Amino acid sequence: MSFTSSLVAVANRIDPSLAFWSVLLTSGKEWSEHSLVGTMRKGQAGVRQLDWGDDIVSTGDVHRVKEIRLHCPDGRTATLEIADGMMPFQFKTKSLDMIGAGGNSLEYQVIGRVIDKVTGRCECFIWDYRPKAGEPNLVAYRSNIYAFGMWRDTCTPIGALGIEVQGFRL
Amino acid sequence: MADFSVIRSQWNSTATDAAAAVWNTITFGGSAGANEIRWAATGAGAAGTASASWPQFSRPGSTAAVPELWYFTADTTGVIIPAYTGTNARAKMACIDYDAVGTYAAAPTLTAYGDNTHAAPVAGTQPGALSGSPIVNGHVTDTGSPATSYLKMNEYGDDQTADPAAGTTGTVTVTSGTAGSVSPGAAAWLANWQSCQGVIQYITHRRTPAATTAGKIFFVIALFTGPNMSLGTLTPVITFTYSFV
Repeated sequence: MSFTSSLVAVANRIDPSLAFWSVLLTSGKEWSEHSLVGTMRKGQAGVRQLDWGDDIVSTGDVHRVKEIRLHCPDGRTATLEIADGMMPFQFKTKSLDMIGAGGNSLEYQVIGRVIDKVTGRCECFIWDYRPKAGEPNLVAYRSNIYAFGMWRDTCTPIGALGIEVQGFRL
Repeated sequence: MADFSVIRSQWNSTATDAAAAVWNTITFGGSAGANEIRWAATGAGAAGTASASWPQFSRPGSTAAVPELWYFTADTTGVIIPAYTGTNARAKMACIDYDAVGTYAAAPTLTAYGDNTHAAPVAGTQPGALSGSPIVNGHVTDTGSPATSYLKMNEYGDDQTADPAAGTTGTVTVTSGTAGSVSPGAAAWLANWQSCQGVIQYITHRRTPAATTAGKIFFVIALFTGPNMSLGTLTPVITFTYSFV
């Protein structure tokens, strides 16, 4: 963890144009994507942003989530309760353009819960950074973790979500 | 935010497929002639030609592949891509290269759009609403029915750091394309190339690449044209879409 990467972590934390997730655990503890975690590498202290894989999935906290929330850039917060038998998940999607003029654009950010582990049925809230004209940024969406769809025709569907990276026990 | 610190497109500049690839980075999102790739007739391109002066390619009387491809790191700093021939002859052409910082949340996709707004293509419509629409929309007389894109792609099924084996990469013709998503098998190219047409026809990588593991996703492209393609300065985008946790 370098001084530069620590600065990046802090900058990401305070960027008001980006949505972010947070979770409430059954213990009452709250973790947020904006939480900073202390690090020590090669004798150098630093900080990094809390990471879903390293700090929520790997620690087993993913199985102790009571609520998952999506904090939107417009100030709204969407919340999904995680009842017994459900699993929370989150991810972001980005498009990178090549050949000529293009960009490096966040498409959307998703929080969700698996409500049927057998079929993979899930419910989500999505902050859409590139909605079609007249469509809202905040979208409520039902899909399936084995074939995650798309609510607009300007981005390719996700398909199957990575089981391991979300810490799913199915 | 476990996105990648480095994720980029790279193009091979070695003269033969048998040699180890030399990967040259073209940053996503070109501007002012830099970080572009440009097609040309055989012998028509030149390394020092600005984007605004790039030679025209004459529309042929019958469908054919555009035979030459160049990458430009700056407006007048170009290199021909020998691996591009408009055919399936060479495997080591291009890749998406990423570092070990990020974690994919799903298998990424590759497709093309008429421009960077990613408006939905209208298959078969010429010229279409966007600068690159003539390529992406296709035309039933030239590219099959329903119309496929003039831009074709194949992808290698394994994400890895080592180059794929040299050689041919499946079958490609001006009518190649399958509705929806297609995915290559393990350590294999698609048997038939896919058309790049927004969400209508696209490629999904066969798996979610391993977490926090550097790698490359290899792909090859071929651009066709034909008598029913509208004329103009055509600037589509090839789009790599990925999800991360």
